Amino acid sequence: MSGKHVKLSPASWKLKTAGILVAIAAVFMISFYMLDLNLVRFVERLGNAGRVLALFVAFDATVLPDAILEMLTSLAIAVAALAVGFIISIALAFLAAANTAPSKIIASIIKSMVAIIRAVPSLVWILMIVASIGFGNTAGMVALLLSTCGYLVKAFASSIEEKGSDSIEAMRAVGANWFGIVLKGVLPGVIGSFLSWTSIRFESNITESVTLGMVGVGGIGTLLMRAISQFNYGRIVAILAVIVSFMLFVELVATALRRRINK
Amino acid sequence: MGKALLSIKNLRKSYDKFEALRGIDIEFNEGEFVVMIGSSGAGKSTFIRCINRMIDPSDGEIVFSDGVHMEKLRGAALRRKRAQIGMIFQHYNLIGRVNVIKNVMHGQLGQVPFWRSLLGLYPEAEKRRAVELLEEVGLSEQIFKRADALSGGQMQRVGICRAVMQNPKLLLADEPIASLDPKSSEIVMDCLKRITKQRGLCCIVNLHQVDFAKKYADRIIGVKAGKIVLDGSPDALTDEIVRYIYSGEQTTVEEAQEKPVPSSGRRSAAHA
Ligand SMILES: Nc1ncnc2c1ncn2[C@@H]1O[C@H](COP(=O)(O)OP(=O)(O)O)[C@@H](O)[C@H]1O
Ligand SMILES: [Mg+2]
Repeated sequence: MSGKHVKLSPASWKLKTAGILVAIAAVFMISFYMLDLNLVRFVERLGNAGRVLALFVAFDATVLPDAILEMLTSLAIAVAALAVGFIISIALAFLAAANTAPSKIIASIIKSMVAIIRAVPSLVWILMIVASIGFGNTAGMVALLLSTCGYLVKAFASSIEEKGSDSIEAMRAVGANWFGIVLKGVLPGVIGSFLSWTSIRFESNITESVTLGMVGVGGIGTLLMRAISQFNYGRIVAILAVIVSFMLFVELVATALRRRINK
Repeated sequence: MGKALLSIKNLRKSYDKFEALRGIDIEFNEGEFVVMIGSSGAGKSTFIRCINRMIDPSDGEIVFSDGVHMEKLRGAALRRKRAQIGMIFQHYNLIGRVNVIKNVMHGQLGQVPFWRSLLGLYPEAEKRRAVELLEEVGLSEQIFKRADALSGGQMQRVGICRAVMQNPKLLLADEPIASLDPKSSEIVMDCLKRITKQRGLCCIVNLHQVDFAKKYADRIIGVKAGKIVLDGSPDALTDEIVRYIYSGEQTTVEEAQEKPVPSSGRRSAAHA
């Protein structure tokens, strides 16, 4: 070998990497500056935390029956949105994924709608929906359905795009139509990851459902908001306990489901 | 030699400016086992995929003996004609999570109404035929195994069964043994040849192993840079012609020279 040392990457690549690193550092510093964080004040205030925390030691058990009932409402809204969203998202994902889309125009319409849905926080959706159909469980369900589809369509479509090209080729070659290609060729290979995505989404649906309750949709969020505005620490603690135990339970169930699916 | 089955005239295919097929004229007959050889990039896959329109040709005619012009078909008519042509892939292209017999039944997807296949309501006679086919290729034990639990050689035999399940007159196989070890390759090629001969099918196979081509082919076609440079019996494939077909690409030239094609002398002597 000659005396020149061996490069493992071209000089241009190193320059690009350095540039990207500098840019990331700059963005980080600018964000910090713009947030105007006052760490000194934060540390001073920490002294008060003990006093506030002491108030939270209370526990008002009388709110439990109500809290559990309302938690179930929140859960129902989340599950309903998830179930309906699952079906809708499967259909939309196959219409949108690059390798299964029957029409490029329909595909890009779906993809841009999903992008818009994802760009707008569901809190904003709920306010718009409330403005049109009023408060209540239906508004919550519709708002949650939107964000569920926004998440699942994108996830499902990416699963379809990364798998399935071999199977699609085979199904095309036997003369199958679009439904044959999709349902017989692609779906068996992606249904497992669809279910995984859905179980991941399940947890955030519940969190979102609780949050939506705080702006007036039904469910435990409403109860929590009321307790907070009354500074009723005993109730707040009891309600939070219900929420946390439900979330833990859901997490356990979802993990167990995922493990079964991936087997 | 059987009746004419397929006639191809002036077939051309360009990818952007690059011409992958530069005017191919050829006929195929019923019941013949044709092996196509040529260095990688010669246009073998493009040619085979134009026949069943997995790729749309840029110019030329693909005419079947029933008068159908393959290059003109669209939509449902195209799917109906494709359903009559079996295809076998280098990577088997089975549906991994689905069991073996269901994979074989997929060969019927272009022939039964879709709602029937969706519910698994294939005709009883066809299901029995699938079982018999799997027995014939030695996979009767594996019927209910998931396709992704099989070995490569077993998967390719399932791929053959799926293609034959279409009741085709023509089978296309694009590098069916390129991902297999020599032993499995032999088993798969034996299966393919036996099944197509029994049923009188025409089979067009792309291979890059010259020894396999000589062993199995009734007729060998040499493709080079998008044109046919050889069309004849295996005996016509001399070492010089092999070297010519594979010249122009360094690695394949060396391969061809390293393996001074076995048995060519012996074989022509035996035939003489
Ligand atoms: N989709 C494609 N786009 C552009 N060029 C292609 C495409 N498919 C094949 N080619 C080119 O066409 C030529 C023939 O390819 P192919 O038919 O795959 O050859 P072979 O199967 O003999 O190896 C190659 O040079 C290849 O690079
Ligand atoms: Mg090829």
